[in-house]
Amino acid sequence: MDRNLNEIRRQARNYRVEPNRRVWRRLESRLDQDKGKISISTLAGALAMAATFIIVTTWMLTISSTEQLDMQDLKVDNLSTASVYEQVGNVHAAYASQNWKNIEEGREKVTLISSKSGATTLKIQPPADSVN
Amino acid sequence: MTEREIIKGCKSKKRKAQKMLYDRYAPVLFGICRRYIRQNEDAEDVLLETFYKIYSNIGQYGFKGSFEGWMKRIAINESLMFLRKNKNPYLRAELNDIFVEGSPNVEELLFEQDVMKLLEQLPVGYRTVFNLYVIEGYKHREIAEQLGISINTSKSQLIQAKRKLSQLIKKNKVTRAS
Repeated sequence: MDRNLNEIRRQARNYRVEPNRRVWRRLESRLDQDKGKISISTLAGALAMAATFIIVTTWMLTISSTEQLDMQDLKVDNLSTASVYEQVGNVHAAYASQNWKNIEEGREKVTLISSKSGATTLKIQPPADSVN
Repeated sequence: MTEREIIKGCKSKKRKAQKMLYDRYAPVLFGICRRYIRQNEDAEDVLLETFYKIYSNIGQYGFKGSFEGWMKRIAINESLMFLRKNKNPYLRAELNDIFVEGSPNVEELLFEQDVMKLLEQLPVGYRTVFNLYVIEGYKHREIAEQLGISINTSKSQLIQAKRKLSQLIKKNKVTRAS
């Protein structure tokens, strides 16, 4: 019986029918239509890329002008290099002198105190949850 | 051009490769469509859809497993989808939930016959279940899922298909003898 069943399967699976030529013609015209669709989508893609380019360029120009503004602000402060080094040194010293544990960068409250004589000191307060 | 080259060409949407794939496999896939769908024009529509789906999804084929098997599964699924979509009244009417006991040993009788000619004479519901179970080797559970019927319905359809086939074979023998 298995032999018969296999023979039936073989016969059915090998069944071949040549389709009418019109099937390929119809299929080909459908594929051509898709090609048309692709060119429309390519055009849309190109437009999207152009729009992105304009947006990015505008954004970069804006950023660049903001940076220039920041530089101007720094110039107004008119800090000398020595003064900057001094302040950085003060920060390090202040950190080194603290006795609380696990100082977490950026969470401490730092206050710059300038005296009338021009000397600067830093007051650093730890975050509330770090104080033991 | 090897099969691999044809597939690569189809992945690049080259018309020459698409035509070669069609020429090579259209008779096999149309044979499958005709096994499920009796009307020639309907089977042609399904063949067109099958190839369109093959070209659209060929990028997903990763050269693992039989390419022909992959295409055949698409052809079977498209044929079943056609039968479901058209809500074939014969399919619905035949796929009633009647369990028929006893199955004729039709395999013995079918051996000497032209299987395809006999299958063409089967009503669409019987033919679909017979094709899926006997020819493709699906399980009743899978057939039930594919056709949206119960497992018992699938079983009873198969029995009825076999019964009908044995009747047709006997009828053919009588006609030949006379």
